[in-house]
Amino acid sequence: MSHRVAPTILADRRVPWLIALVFVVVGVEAVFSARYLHDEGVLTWYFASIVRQEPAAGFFFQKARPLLALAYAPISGAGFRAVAIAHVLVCATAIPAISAIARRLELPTPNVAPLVLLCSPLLLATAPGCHSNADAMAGLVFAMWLLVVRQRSLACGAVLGCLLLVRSEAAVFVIAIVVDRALRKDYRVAAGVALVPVLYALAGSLYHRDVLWVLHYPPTLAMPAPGLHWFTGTSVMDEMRGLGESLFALSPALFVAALARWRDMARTERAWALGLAAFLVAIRGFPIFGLFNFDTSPRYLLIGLPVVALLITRVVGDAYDGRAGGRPGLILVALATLLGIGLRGEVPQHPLLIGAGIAAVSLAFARAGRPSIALAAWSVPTLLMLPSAGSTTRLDPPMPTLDRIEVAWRDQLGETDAPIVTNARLLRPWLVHWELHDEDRRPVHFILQSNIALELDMLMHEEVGQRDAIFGALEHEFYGRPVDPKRLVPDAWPDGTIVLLWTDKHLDDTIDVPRWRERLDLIDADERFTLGRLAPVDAPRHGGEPR
Amino acid sequence: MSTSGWRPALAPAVVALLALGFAATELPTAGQKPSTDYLYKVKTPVGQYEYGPEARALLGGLAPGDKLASDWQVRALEGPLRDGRVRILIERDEASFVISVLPTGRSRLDPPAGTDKWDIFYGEFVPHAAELEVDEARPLLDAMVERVRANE
Repeated sequence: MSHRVAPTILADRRVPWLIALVFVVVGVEAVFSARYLHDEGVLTWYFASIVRQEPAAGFFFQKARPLLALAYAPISGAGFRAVAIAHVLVCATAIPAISAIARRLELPTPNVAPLVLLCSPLLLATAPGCHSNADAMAGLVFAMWLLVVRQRSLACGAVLGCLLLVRSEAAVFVIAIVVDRALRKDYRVAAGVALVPVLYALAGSLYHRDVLWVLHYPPTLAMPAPGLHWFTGTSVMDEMRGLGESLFALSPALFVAALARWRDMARTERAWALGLAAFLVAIRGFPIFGLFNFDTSPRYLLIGLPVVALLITRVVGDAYDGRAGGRPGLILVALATLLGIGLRGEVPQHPLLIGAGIAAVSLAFARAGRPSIALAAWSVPTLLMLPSAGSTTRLDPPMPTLDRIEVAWRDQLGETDAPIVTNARLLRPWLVHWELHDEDRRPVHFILQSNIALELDMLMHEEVGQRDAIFGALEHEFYGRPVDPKRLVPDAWPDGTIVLLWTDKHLDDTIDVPRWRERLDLIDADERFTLGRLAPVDAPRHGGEPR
Repeated sequence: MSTSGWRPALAPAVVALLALGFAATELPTAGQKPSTDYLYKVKTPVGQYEYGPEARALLGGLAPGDKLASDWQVRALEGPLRDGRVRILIERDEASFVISVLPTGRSRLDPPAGTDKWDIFYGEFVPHAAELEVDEARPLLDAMVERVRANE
């Protein structure tokens, strides 16, 4: 097969910076439009606020992703938008860095990797959404850059060690990198990885007065909250049905990465590719067995993106060098196609089939000696699909419902001075976004549902005052002021209190929902929410139960 | 490029045709957002939706006020919902919970009871402290299995 010269744009050093600029513009626009406002993303800001207000209690509260919270703490006082914009900028640094890594690995088209990052629906959602998954992804790129470009093994290890305290799913890649370097007698990465958690644990033992505090107050519960017959993990079939959409959200071009040829890869790439394979199996396998409290959210996949981007860059470069993808890659794509065909039915499988299809088209042109068309075959559809790919991330807010609440709010509650009681985590951020929130006139009180309350109880150290300190901080910046358990009954609130109950499987375990509903003068409701005001006990009700 | 140069492209081209062809049949039609309903376990008060004749037939004419397993009383019913689910709100004294009857395999969880065609779940306890263990709920589940089996 003939060798083709790759277009210079694919190696031009200015291009990654241009891509980063586009990424920042798109990301900042999404911040201002609240396109990816999501409760887990807002939590990054709340955690940073806790560390700002209560440095010791917050920093040694593992649930708060302490190192990440510390990084954003200085700007957390400026509000969510400021943190989210900083977050977009942090994520943007990964774009030139991944190109530099590809260049150092002598891949002939190093600008393909930044393009893959730019085209990831998950990254485009989590960067403005402020999710820690994007920080972990950027952190992994930074660690790889330190290792490959700057050849600073210890510093790479230290960054990897930090990642372990930010997102536990990073562990698979950390292990892959540490083992690869150790096999080459480079133990400095391992030393760096151990350094950060050990220092953190030792420092924390002074605060907690407990040498084993890391184990006694872990970052998350190992298992879902007990006693819920409805929540015991997912089945293999359900996991398979949702798989295509999740992979598509990570990168619509993911299956192009599968075409990378083992024998053409550098040793480092092989280690990373094995890490990626192990990671994908683990992260989609955990929910099936209910392990480590992972669910099937696509965002957990995001940390795999850098390796996907580098493998796709390898595939494109090899195609220009006359080495198109081999049989194993084709078999994998064919199997994905058969899986997608077999699973059609209740859950649409077009994300899986499109992903496999564009990889197959790309492979066909690469094998026919048309590497530029092969590149266009996945990159053009990927770019064109981006505007409609947001829903695959499952991070876009439920707009019809929120819009409906906003309309009801403006129409019927605009001039109301009354406290708000809700379990809806997005309510306060949403009201703030629309400038409908006034904490003095209408303070938001947040019902800590049983699952959250249980987690906080288990993960905070009450005896050293951590619980009081953190709850004190939550009073100022959180989904709302946590409602005292004694006030989880409607009688504890004044008549006229605004109540928004969000349909949630844990709400029934927390409050007596029918008792609250019976007291409500209904304003609006659908299958996701009930909005009303507390009526006097004997007053005639308007609206009643939704039917 | 000669014709033989395209020969290695044949196999991936066939895979591409298959994948994209079937993908086209799966695409949501214009204006329709891809359904993510399966991701949500929406729980709303029973009785918000109609209790249709199909569901009534499946449950052997079960109606509000009927007794189940001696001391439990049916308070409200609804279904079949969009996912085929029929929901029955059952109460005793101040406590209540919901039994859901779903077409087999529709839920991602293992059902505590069921027939060949229907899975039966229970949950949504009010108050939460009234939660029943499977053994305690068994007479109710058995009664429901018996009804469904007789009419499925």
